[in-house]
Amino acid sequence: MSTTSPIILVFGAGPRIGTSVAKAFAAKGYKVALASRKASEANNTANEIHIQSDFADPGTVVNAFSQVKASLGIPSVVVYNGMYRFPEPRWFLSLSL
Amino acid sequence: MTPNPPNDPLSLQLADFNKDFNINTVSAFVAAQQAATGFAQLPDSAAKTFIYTGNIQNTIIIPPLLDLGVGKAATAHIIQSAAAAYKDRGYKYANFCPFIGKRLTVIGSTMATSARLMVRLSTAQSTGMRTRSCI
Repeated sequence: MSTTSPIILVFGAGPRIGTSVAKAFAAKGYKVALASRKASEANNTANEIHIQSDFADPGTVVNAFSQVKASLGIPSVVVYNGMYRFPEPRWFLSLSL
Repeated sequence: MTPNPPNDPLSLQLADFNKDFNINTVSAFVAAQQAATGFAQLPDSAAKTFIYTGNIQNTIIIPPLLDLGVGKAATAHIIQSAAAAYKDRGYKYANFCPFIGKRLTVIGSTMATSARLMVRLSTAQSTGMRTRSCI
């Protein structure tokens, strides 16, 4: 029984980093679970599920894992993007790193 | 994430500080915890990789973003601790900072690169000991 797909769970799967990560891992044969505030189950497919979660409540993280386990299986890769977008004041952009 | 006046970081409301700490650190801790419980049930061949998206605030201070900096520094510590402790079990815990080495105005183009690096991390033997200061 070694033909089951590996699973990735991405927290904070916004329109930028979340979907990039999902695409990259899907290309490697992973099934994908995306958890975010705006996620909607209506977008679920056989290989990609969406879990509505608000990380201001840590309990939703536990729920997300339960849902993934029930729908797809135990994730072998977990990515947590807690807070990715932030304002970019002009001085911030001028920082030299 | 709630910005504060650059010259008055301590004016940040406690309610905002707590909420953002939950988002950046407490929930991340729970995710790391849950991930480990799951990894223990997977075969040796599984990737068993946890990646936290940090940012450069592990090492420098950006004045209007105090609570983001606090959360990410705290979680970086959790990641570093987990990386060392679970290494022998083959679990990889990594703090990934997509902004390191890139001009901040090029945020969009680093997404795909970040994603590719994460895939590479998942197949790597280990993440090395670079988890504190970002990959």
